[in-house]
Amino acid sequence: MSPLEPVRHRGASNRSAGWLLPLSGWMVIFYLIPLVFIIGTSFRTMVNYQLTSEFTMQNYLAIFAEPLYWKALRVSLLLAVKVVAITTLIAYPLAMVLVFIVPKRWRTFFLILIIAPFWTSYLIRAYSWFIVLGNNGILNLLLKSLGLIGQPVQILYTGTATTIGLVHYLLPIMTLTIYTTLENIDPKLLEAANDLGAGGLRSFFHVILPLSAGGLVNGMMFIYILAFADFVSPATLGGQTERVFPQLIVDAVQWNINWPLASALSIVMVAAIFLVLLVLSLFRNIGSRENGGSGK
Amino acid sequence: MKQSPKLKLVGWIYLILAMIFVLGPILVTIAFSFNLDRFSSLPWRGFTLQWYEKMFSNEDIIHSLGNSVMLGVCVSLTAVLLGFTGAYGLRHWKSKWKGAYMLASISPLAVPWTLMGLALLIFFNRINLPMSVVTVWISHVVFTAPLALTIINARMQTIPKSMENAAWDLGAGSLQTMFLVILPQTLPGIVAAALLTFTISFDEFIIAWFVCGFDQTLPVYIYSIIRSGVSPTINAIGTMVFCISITLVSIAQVLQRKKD
Amino acid sequence: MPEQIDVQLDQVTKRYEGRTVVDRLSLSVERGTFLSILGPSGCGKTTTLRMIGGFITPDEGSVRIAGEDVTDLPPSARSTSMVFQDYALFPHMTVADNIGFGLRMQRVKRPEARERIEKALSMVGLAGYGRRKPSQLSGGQRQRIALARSLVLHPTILLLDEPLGALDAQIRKQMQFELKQLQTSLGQTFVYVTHDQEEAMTMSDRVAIMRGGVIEQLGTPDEVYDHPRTLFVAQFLGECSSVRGRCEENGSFFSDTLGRLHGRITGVPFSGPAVLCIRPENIVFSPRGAERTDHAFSRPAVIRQRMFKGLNTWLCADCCGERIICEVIGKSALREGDEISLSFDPQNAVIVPDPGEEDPAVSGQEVEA
Repeated sequence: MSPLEPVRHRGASNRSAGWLLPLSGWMVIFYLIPLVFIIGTSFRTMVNYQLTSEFTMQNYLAIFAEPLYWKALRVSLLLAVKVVAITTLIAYPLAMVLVFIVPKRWRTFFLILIIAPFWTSYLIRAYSWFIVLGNNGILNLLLKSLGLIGQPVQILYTGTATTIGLVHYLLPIMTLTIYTTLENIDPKLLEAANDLGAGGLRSFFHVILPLSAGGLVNGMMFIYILAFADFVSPATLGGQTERVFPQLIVDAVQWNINWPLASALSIVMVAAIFLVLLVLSLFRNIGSRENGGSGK
Repeated sequence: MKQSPKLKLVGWIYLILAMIFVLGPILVTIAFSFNLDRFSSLPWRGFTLQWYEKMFSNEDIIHSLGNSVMLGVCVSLTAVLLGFTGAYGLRHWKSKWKGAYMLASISPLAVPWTLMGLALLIFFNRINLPMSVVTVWISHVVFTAPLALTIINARMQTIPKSMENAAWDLGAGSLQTMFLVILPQTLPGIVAAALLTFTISFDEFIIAWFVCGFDQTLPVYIYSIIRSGVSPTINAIGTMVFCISITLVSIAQVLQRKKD
Repeated sequence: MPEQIDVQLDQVTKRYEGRTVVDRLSLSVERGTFLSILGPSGCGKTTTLRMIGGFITPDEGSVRIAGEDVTDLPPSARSTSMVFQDYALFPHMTVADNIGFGLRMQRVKRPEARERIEKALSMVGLAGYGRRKPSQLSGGQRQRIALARSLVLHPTILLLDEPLGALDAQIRKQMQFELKQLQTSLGQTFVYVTHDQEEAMTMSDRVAIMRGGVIEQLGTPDEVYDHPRTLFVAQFLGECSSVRGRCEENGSFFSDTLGRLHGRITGVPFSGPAVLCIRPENIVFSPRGAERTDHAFSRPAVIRQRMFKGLNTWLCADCCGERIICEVIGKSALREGDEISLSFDPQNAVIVPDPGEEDPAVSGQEVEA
């Protein structure tokens, strides 16, 4: 700009908002509009591989009337809850070990070793369990050579394998979330608790757990969404023994080429997921209120 | 907090068991990719590189690998570009809607990928864009750009506002300030975001499965063959994919954790 | 060039979300002056400086620099340069590149730029540091580099925003000295913002004391210290004992506790409620019965508190119900409870208008020195 030209730089802030345009544009066109489209499609039907234009509730009615869908919803919900519970129970002590026992200079090393797999191919990680869990897999060979079993145990292609695959998938991210909240707890608080005579267990339940409740619930919500919506582990490790809800969506797209039904199914799935999250977030509010109380 | 030596020992044992659980299966896959035996099981029959030769002579694998690498590079570049401009815009945008905007733009990370994949499939179909690597690229940017935004934004927030005022005061225009002052200082975050988004795109399967059409990416190809069971060639592919990913992600993690 | 005005603010006002931060402020700074803007946090001093620098555009009023109206010009188009509180050195550039940044923006030729950078470095006593990164320097060195980065552009006015705030006491003192020396040798106009009254007094030619978006008083350090026009200025610039009472047209002062003061008291005579301010160093304690005869004012008092400060001792006395502080060089033999006599020369006392009970300055809470 020329120095002779008076410029009101109050406008500078507005001009800078222009930098947001590329991101905003991409998100509106390829994120918001597709979401609108999928909602719209869920109220249509398909005739001869063509979408009809008339509005119909048919897909939703079909879903609510069909016991198969209800069963899949139940299977998915139970699986997700089971996975969240197991993952949390493993991740919490793990994060505590990292924060309270592992010396500071080693923390990043172990943390990266544990987290890095989360960003790597989930498919490959699921596949790697084939070798471990198969009838001639490492685990069965190990158990046999220890004399614990005579015949190979069938783990692969069962619900157990599905659960193992999912826990393995989600453990890193859960550990990271809890680790981050634990690391932010002021160590002085723990010293104070010790000083006031709280033993290990009591300072855990009265100081550590309430202070990390927020991060814990956030992490649980996140892995719950991922576990509920996953079909890779059930379709590969689980061998499709029990059909999970996302698998039905895939089937509706792949075999029936029924997009309206698939759309309605995914919206029902998201609704189911967020219904449970709503309940969880209520818990979190209670948790944070307790937090505030204990701070006084 | 002080712990008893017994508690410490239990802690370390637990950590090692957890590491075995997390890394064990992957290490086993890597080990078996060098096993002479066609069946990935014990006893060990001897060392070989034949599965890697087999992998590289398989045209489907090479083709899908090429697709995935190209895809990863494009996704990473686009995501970083959108993430950087977005973070830069947010830095200068004074509005009470800033928080809401940030929340909205990272929300794709919380949308189940099955739903997102289907939504994009329907959308591309409706606008008559044929399914190909291009549609996968567009789709992958939708959820990698928010990630790049968060990483780059976190880095950019560590730059004090006075840096820009100083550059401005010394006669730099707004573009010069961005390129000479803000960009170099954000670089570690940008590189971390680029590596991470490449890895995610390179490994992503669900959305790619919905929108790739006949252009198979590597994960889509792997999915089509692993359901038929274990094979040493898959071990080799897995080893390759895992090594690429873990290297890039580790660099990204180190860059992100490094202060200054 | 006698009386060339470098900075002229005319009725400048800035509001944020309905709150007036700077209120119809006018100020002019002559060439070669070291002006300090002094005040507690939130008084509008930094906002004023930023309006001179062009980082903030005033809502009303105008800013002139060297006679030219620059109210609507951005910082880059003004012949001002700012030294920031956190130095704002670019961490990814070497010291030389930092100093050369402004020259690069002005497209100064490489050899000339190199020469000017070297000159700027030796001016701040850091010749040979050009290849280092800012992270390899100490706080004081970074401060000097920031200074060199601004001075290399030969600005008409150098603006300094609490530049010594982040340094520890020892280096701070040394930097104050160096800064003043540099300013004198360059004959450069400095506008310096600080909340530290000692810093402002040591370095400045003129001090502007700000409160609530307006300048309460502007003058040389001596003037504002010895002849404060408001109670706030008197108390902000250093410890002083204050006694409330009334002032009469003829310049005499009367208080319920101390009675009438005879003799000329400094300050513009007026009639109405007033506060008498006396600096601790102007009060003399003497043993009972050995009162100073040359002082027109003398009263009995009792020592209540004794604070040893190293170089001197502060004695806090109760004199007819008023709390009076006296400063004694070195140690004092007086103890709590000692009965003494207190006196001062009325010429060393100042009367200022009584701002009333609601004024925070009276309680002294806000202006802890």
